[in-house]
Amino acid sequence: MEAVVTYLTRLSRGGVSRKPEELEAETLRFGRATNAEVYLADPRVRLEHAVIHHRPGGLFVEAEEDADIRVNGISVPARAVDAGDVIGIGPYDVTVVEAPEGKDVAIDVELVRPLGDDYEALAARSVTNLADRGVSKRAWSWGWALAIIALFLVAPIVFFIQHEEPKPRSEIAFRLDQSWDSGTISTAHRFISMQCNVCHEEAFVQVKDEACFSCHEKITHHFDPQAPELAEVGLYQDAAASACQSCHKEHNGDAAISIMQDSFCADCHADIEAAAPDTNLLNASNFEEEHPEFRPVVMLDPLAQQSKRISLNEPEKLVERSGLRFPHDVHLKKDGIRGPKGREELVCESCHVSEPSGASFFPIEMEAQCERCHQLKFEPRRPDRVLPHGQVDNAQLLIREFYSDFALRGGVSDAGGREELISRRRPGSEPVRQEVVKANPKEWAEQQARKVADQAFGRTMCGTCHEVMTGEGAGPLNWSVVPASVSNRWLPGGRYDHKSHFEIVACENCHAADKSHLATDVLLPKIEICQDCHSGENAADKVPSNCVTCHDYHLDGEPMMKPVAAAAWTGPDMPAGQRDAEYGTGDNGS
Amino acid sequence: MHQSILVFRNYLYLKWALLVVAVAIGLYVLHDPAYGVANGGTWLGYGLGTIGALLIVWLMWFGIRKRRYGAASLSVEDWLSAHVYLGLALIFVATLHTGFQFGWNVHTLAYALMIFVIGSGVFGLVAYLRVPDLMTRNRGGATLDQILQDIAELDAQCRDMAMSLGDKINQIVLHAAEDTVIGGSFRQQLSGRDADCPTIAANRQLQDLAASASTAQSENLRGLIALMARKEELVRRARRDVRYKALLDVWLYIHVPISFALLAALATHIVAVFFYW
Repeated sequence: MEAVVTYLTRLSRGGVSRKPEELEAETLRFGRATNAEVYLADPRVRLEHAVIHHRPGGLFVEAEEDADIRVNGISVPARAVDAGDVIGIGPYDVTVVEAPEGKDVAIDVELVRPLGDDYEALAARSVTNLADRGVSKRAWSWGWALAIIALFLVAPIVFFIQHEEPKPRSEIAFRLDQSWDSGTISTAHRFISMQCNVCHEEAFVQVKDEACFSCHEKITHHFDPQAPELAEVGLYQDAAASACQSCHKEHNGDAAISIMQDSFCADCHADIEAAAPDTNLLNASNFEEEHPEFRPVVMLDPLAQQSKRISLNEPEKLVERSGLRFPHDVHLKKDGIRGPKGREELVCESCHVSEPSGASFFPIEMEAQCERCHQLKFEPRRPDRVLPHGQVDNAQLLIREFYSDFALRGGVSDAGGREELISRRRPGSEPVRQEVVKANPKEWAEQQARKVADQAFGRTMCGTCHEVMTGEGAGPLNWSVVPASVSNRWLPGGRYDHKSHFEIVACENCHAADKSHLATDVLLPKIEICQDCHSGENAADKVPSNCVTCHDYHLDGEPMMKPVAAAAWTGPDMPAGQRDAEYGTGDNGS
Repeated sequence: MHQSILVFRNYLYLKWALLVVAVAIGLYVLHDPAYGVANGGTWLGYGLGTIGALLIVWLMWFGIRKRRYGAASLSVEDWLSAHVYLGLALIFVATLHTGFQFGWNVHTLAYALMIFVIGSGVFGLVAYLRVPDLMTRNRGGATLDQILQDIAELDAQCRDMAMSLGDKINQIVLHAAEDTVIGGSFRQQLSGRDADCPTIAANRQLQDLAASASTAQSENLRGLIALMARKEELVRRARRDVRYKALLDVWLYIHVPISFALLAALATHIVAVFFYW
């Protein structure tokens, strides 16, 4: 067939350049192959893309295998075409036009979608900058900041405002202000850990002492903050004025909520006279390096109940007048002592019975500890009758009643004679006059009673263990028993747990009881015995022991901390508060 | 930006930072918290907290300061050097402020964010010290734009050379030219790789085809393969360049937003502490 193929090129200045080619061929083959009748140099075109046949019925276009053509925009494998039809081959438009005279076919070929600029396309496709990914630092900054403020600032404040009244823990499942909790509450306070406003009553106000006092109502001071002699001392004013919080910090988990450091105590006690000029305390700052010798409270006069602190360094003054006579050494003899059922060996625990806590001991009592051996029998014929302990007057009455009863029931004859030689003593007069008395039951009973209950009896019977007073005014018979004033605690200001020491040391390591012959001995160990094992708080080779190991800060007998003393302060004119005599001026028993 | 930021003014700001750290540690060691527990609530705790908060605000001020050219007496280099060293000193100040008490709360959140910010800053510092050198060597004197233009030129050459070759080869070449992408997502930019890179795939496919082609065909193919190999090298180089640039930028996407998160958490921390005093 005869064909005219016109290649059109759009010019950039406008207009179209036409480059016609005439050719003769069996068919018109379109493709990238160099032998194609219509050579289309574009990689988007197949080597052999399509072919136009000239048939008797007209023109017929056909796509090569696997190639794709469009006729008037519609994808078809093959179709008859006529003038006016547009065949799309890759980026080319092939338009069938009226064939000029003498030609079978005429087509216009135009590259309508040329390949773009490779560089521009590549640059447009590629994202070579993180900023071009659409992630905005500014947006993220705002997002994070606002999220944190909403969750952790606004929500807790709203929660606080909505829950101003403290609620029981069981009613609060989740607290929006939980994120503010700076640390675990101490074990003792954990039961209120879900009720922040029990302590934090007001926003931006430090926890007030009143919040503490609502439970710790009876907590006492370390000293009397209103004592005139302390009013001038700044340290005391500070201590009196300071809030509970200045010493007790919460939210530190199981770490101690109380001050444990010696340095806190040493602030005053290292130079106690500077802090309290009239004190009878001695300086102390470290258990091993600076701590006075123990000064037990020793009973000097059991009648006047007068006691005094005497240092263990002054053994000649250490005489405790408890009103008792008791030789520890006799009772602790290695080969035993005579008991109701023969010889028996006594040990400390035989008489000193531990309290359930083990920290200390039950007081020694006649009935519990002594009476088993020391029975108050007064009449050999009736060994079953004993006198009541601790009641001198009553005992004397009982003796009289016993003998009256004894005489009435014919005991006079049983006594072995109708006449008795009576030693009689008139009150306040010596010598003793002896007289023979007729055996009349009443008289006899009276005589017997007087004989038993007299001074000598008192001295031998009661006096075995007790000091016996004689002389005018000492009871109805001019003698009586000095009341026993056994010191329950020689060091009342210190804490000591016997139980924790039992397993490690024997009693006699500290208490030389087996060598003590007199009840006036103060059987306390000197501080150096303690220091064998205990040293200051930073000790590495001994048991580290700080002040509060043995001493309390809030002392029994001192005024209550509530109401806050500093507020009630009226200056040096205030009368001194009443002190417990045992403590002196707030002495801590060092 | 290079080593000089660290040695700037003969380590002037390092010395300042070390002084801050030494004072903080010294006070912490000497400090005897009255109730036995070190935390933000002692006088030293409040002190270190105040210093830490001021440091954070000052460090963030750098973001504003660096945009003000020639305004103040101190140069931006001064600021950056101080920013780096005092930012590192902040780790010590803030950690000692905590007294090593940590928990699931807003206070530790602020601390964690701060560590995160400083960590990203350290990443940035290391990047700024190491990457520019690698970047220069990788580019070989060209800019990324020039590399992209070279790639485009190679695409045209490949197409021309493939024009007389088979359809499959043409498709491969066309796909490699039209669909190869440099960079892309955050991950692609940062990794410097593209698992589905059409250029790399084209190179492999062409080599496979060359192995099985006839002598006459493989003659032409070899020319194409040489071009494609060159293109692959340039594509890899361009991606490395993008990766290096991303490394220089990416830490700021953490450093800056988390700084503001930290600022919010810090403010919350301060309010919370005094709200429940």
